[in-house]
Amino acid sequence: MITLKKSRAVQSRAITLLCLGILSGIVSSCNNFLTAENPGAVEEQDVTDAKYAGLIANGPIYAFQLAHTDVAYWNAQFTDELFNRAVFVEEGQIDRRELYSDMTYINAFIYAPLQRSRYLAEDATRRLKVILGDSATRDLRVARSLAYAGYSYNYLGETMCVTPIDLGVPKSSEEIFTDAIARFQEAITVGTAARTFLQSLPTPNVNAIAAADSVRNFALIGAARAALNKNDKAAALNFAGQVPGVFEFRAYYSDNTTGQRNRTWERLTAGNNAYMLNTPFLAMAGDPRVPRVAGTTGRGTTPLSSPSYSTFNNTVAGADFAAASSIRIASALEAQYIIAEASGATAATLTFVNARRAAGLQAPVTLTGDALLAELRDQRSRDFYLDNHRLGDLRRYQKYYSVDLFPTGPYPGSTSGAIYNSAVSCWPLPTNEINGNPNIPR
Amino acid sequence: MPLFRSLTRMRYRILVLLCLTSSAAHGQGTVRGHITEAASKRPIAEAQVTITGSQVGAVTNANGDFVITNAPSGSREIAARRLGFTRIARTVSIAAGSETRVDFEMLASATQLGQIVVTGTGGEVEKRTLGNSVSTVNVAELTEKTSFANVSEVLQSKTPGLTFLPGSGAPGTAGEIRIRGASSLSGYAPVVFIDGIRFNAGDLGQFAPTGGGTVGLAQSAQVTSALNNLNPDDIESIEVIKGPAAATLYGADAANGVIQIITKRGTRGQQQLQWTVRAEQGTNQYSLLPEDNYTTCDAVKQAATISTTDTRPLWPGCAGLPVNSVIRGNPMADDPRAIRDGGLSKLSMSLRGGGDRYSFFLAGDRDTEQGVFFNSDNSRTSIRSNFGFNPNSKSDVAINLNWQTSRLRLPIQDESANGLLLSARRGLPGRVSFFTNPADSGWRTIAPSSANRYQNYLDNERLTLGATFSYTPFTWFRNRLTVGFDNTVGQAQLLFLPGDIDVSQDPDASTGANLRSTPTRKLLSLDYAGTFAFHPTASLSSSTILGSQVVSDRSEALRATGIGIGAADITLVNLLQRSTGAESFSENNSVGYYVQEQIGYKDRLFLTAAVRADDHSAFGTNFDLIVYPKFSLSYVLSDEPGISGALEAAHISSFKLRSVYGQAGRAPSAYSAPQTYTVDRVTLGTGTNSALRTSAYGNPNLKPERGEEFELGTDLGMFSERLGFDFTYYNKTTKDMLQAVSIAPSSGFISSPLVNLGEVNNSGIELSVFGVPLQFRNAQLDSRVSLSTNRNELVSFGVVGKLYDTPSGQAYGSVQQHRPGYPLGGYWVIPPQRAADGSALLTPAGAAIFNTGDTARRYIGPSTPTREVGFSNTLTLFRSLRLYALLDYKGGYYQFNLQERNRCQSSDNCARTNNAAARFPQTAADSVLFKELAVYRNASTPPEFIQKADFIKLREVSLSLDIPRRLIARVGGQSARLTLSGRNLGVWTDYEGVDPEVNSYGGRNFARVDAYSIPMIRRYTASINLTY
Repeated sequence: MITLKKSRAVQSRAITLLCLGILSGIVSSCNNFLTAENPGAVEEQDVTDAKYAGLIANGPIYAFQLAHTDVAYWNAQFTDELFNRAVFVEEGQIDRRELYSDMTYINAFIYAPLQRSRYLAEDATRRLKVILGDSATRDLRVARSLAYAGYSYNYLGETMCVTPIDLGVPKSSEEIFTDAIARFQEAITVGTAARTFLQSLPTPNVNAIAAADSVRNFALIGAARAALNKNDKAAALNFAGQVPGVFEFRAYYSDNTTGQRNRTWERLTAGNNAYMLNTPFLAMAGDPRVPRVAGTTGRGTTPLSSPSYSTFNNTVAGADFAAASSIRIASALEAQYIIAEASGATAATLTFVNARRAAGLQAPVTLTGDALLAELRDQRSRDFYLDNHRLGDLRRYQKYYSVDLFPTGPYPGSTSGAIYNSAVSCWPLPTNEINGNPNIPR
Repeated sequence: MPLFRSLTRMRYRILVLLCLTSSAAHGQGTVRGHITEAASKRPIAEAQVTITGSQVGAVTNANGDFVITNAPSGSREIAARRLGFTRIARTVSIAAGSETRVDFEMLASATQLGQIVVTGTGGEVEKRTLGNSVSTVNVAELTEKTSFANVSEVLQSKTPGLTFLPGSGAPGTAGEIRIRGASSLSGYAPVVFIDGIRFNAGDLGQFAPTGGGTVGLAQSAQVTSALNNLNPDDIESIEVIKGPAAATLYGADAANGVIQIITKRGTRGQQQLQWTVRAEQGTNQYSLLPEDNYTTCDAVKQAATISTTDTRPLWPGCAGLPVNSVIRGNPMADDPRAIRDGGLSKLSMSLRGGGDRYSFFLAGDRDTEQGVFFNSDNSRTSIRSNFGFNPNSKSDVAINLNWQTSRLRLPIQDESANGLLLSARRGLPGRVSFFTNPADSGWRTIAPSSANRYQNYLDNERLTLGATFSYTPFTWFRNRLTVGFDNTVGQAQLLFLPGDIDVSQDPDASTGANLRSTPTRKLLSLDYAGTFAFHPTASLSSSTILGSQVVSDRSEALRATGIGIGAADITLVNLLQRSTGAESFSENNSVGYYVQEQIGYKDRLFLTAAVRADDHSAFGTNFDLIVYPKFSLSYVLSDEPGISGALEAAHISSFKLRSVYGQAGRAPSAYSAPQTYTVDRVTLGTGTNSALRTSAYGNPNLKPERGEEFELGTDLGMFSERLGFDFTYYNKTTKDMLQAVSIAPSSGFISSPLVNLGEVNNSGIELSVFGVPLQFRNAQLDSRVSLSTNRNELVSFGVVGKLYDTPSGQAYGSVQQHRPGYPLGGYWVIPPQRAADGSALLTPAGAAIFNTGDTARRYIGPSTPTREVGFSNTLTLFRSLRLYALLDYKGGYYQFNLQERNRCQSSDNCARTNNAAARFPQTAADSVLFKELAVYRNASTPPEFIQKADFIKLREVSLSLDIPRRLIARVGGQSARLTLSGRNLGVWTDYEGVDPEVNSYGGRNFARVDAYSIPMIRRYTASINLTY
């Protein structure tokens, strides 16, 4: 009987253990079961692995290029570069500068893309510094990320009325330009160190050195642009003066997928959504830098590729945009414009203006003072047509030169008496930021 | 005839075999009987007759006859049960070797307290024990009366509290279902079960039917629903439980209610094999033609030329007419290529049978339906098999299998420039044609010759397999395990051949495009319940249920896009000029446990308490289990001896009070909790590379919503159950609402994370009245009214300073808003400024003036019905002729009439803006009209285009005739019925659009816009139903 009892006790212990084993198996399989597979994303805490360094470094390029093409188009419609012909209500409102925070376009095409571009550039800088350690101070990828961060700040400062950073208190455009200059300066430092390091290698890579130079020049022009927007002409001259005579830096697009396309092509060539009618650019016919579709019917007066676009062919007849047209972001030409504007109505400025007039098949002029500066502004508008310089320029002219070139008065073609909203010269914060940022007073 | 004879012979052979295989043991007798409806004396078919306490039973045939051949001898209780009737039982003495006759007259039951309910209860229970309301739609009875194309139509206006909002009248498109109002900002769809297994009722994954979907054409869209691929003829009944109070046992997915579809099955018991054949033919008609387009031939138009170089008149239709003449046109009505009468046909067959230990139901059907547009078709083929058997007296197995395949061709409609309705309604009479073909004159953006080529197909295959194992080792302990697998595989294609579409509409599609997609979804569900039932004392009963549910839901899709077709007969995606691919994947897994205790006192007072705990793969890492409680009380007062006499004196035959409080939830969507990065394509010079970018902002504290509900109601039967009331008051609050809070883009993230904030309240009443106001031997009138109200209110966003939000997917931004204190998705507009006399103030240029800013907005009203009434009557004459009609009222809401806004503001072809008195005022009265004209023509949305949408529709009408049995018997049949049915036969409304029910954003939460969707189509069918 004792044996029987023992055997029963052993049996019951075994059953208990078996049950516990089954239970723990069920619990652990439950935990696995409750972890859903996600092949489309990686969790934030895992983005510190060195295997992601290349992808991280490409993030700022991706986000900036995407933002640039959208912002360039919508800022063109916001300013006097384009006149809306699309039927969607918000597009007409943007053209008239009747802006309010809950417009979907502000967040979708302007603010959110620019903020993501800024964040990804700064996030990439932070993550690359962790991954690279000490070598981050001379790593080209870090320099490039910093430069893109600076340009994102520049665009935010030129475009938005105010801009909060990382859920902070909204900053004025001047503060944003100051932040931009800080990023550019670090980019210049890291880019210069990268060049020195690359040159010190036993077998220097010429392409890598050229890339370091390119990033440094890109940052210098960005810094000069920010300084000019702050009306710090000395700093602008300093930065722009370091840029070599031949240089340009571009944003690239492709017809590979819809998301990689140049939006200006999508809107003007494929979509036919705006044209030059009712803008000052209509009167610039004959200048190969401002080409347009001939006539006034059909697609007539729709812009064709301007100088910053890779499809620009420098003829009066012009050429259409393409889905893969790249866009010049920064160039030696811009550095020269910055120097001219910062220097004022000098003889050198007149020489430069006449050189640009020649590019536009215009006869030379002999202007001085405000007339010369007005001509400089006119030439600049042609050389940088549709490449996202115009809004920053108009705001700068309005603020520091008391020159208002924003369209005003009755809105052409309106049957309801609509007028341009002269009180608006920048984009308001979208509702998303106002509602989601605890540091914005309501 | 030979076929009928052979079927008859087969039936008898099988019956003989069944009889031979049945036990002929000693001590057994035969029970034979006939069951009729007490009032009309009509035979009741498919009633289940059982010998209480045994496995032996039978099912009545179409004549109401039954026979039980192996009934155990002795004194036995014989019981009969049928949905819609009061259970009846009688004790008889069965002598071995002899025959006992038992005839029953069953009373139609208004309250049906004895009805078995399986949804939200943990097992089969009688309705009398429930503290919550359950609506049961007797689908088998409805499909006998009239014709339904899909399950949505079956549910429409039959269940108080369930609102069906259709999208368009195109076959195959789906509407949305709300039960007791929208309870969350992020979704309100109920969950669906079929025979106890979780069923995917979601979208089938077609391409947006509005256009190429490549460049801005997918602005609005109709959706599809897997629910509509079920054959209504296969369904026995549908149970609807309506909120957290009733759905606690379904846990973190059921706060929006549960719909349980119970398919037909064989009934255990001796019976004849029953064959049923139904054949149906019909037609779909475009019944609500839009009003005409107008052009005012003013002097400007009469002088206009095509261009400065082409001096032909731009408005040739105005030539020679007096200045300011108004001309009109209507291409939709005038062009025979635009719409058609679409044919429909249906053939379904079923076989039903069983014995003492098994039962089966086999069915197959083939449906085809043409829409009113030439590019609109839908077809379905399905097979269903339900098989049940008892291996022994303690076990029971039920296996259900459904396979179906469907093919849907969706028309192009809604707010797409390629839509035929848009093209028609924006037409400009008198203007030179927009097309080169003279036959296309009058159309604006696309002509039928192009639109009819639109090819948007969705092929779908579905396999649903379920098995339920029941094991009762002891009389006090029952186990039930249900395993289900629901697999949907789709093949979607959107094909544009070169030239099908104009380059101005879509530059990609104009070169030819082939888009393919293979959406698949797999749902695996496991459901266990163990019930311990015993009687502690003679008066008390106890039922304890322990249960668990496991659900795994996985969706994936592969998509390929080819652009640029070089030759029309070579369309493979990889052979086109530009090809891309995409893949999507989503997975959700959940586990839930529950325990429920029910104490019954003398079978008339029932107290229930339950608690359910859930864990889910979408919960945040900082959140673990969610726990939902439930308490309910049911008191059948009419069984209380102390007051039953008084109730009887008041002609109250049954009276139950009930009350329930409970909670249930709704889990977040997949991958909402973790903060994630993803990879996108970046162009580097001439090449493409990969780049990491931010994706979901995430929320580690994410948890399910908590819906809590209090419900109070009564079931009342009067005049021997000839009149019944089912009244319920509910008050439902969703807390910790899942809402996508716009993330401030300065965070670097764009997508809106889900957070648990805010509160939504829904309250209302539901009343069902069932009555038999006329009851004679040869005439009976059955009436049914279902009435419901819903008051929906966003109590709070829970976000400090957040004033309002706009429904995602609403292309017209702030015209619909969520604002605290108002219904979700209500309509808001800025009214024009008006003088004290009510006339519009105008600018010097003659334009209406609108204030700006948020404070200028005014609330117009809710966007979905707040009052609904369904009123149906069935008049039966001479027990064989039946006339049935259903009137459907929906009211207390508004609709955004975007069509009219576009026509007045953009196209200038509406009646208002072509009112000669307004355009060219001559009198003082005309000047008032002129000011209103300025309002209509303004680019803002004035309140005039948000219009009251109340309507009454004559939803269903049918006339059915039972062929005399003696005639049917000559061909070996049991019964035959001829039915003529009509649907959407009339509408009464003040709404100025074509149909107040359409929504060109079908399936998007809250967004409701009337923009060029096909109105609900009118349908006529004729069917014959034969039973052998």
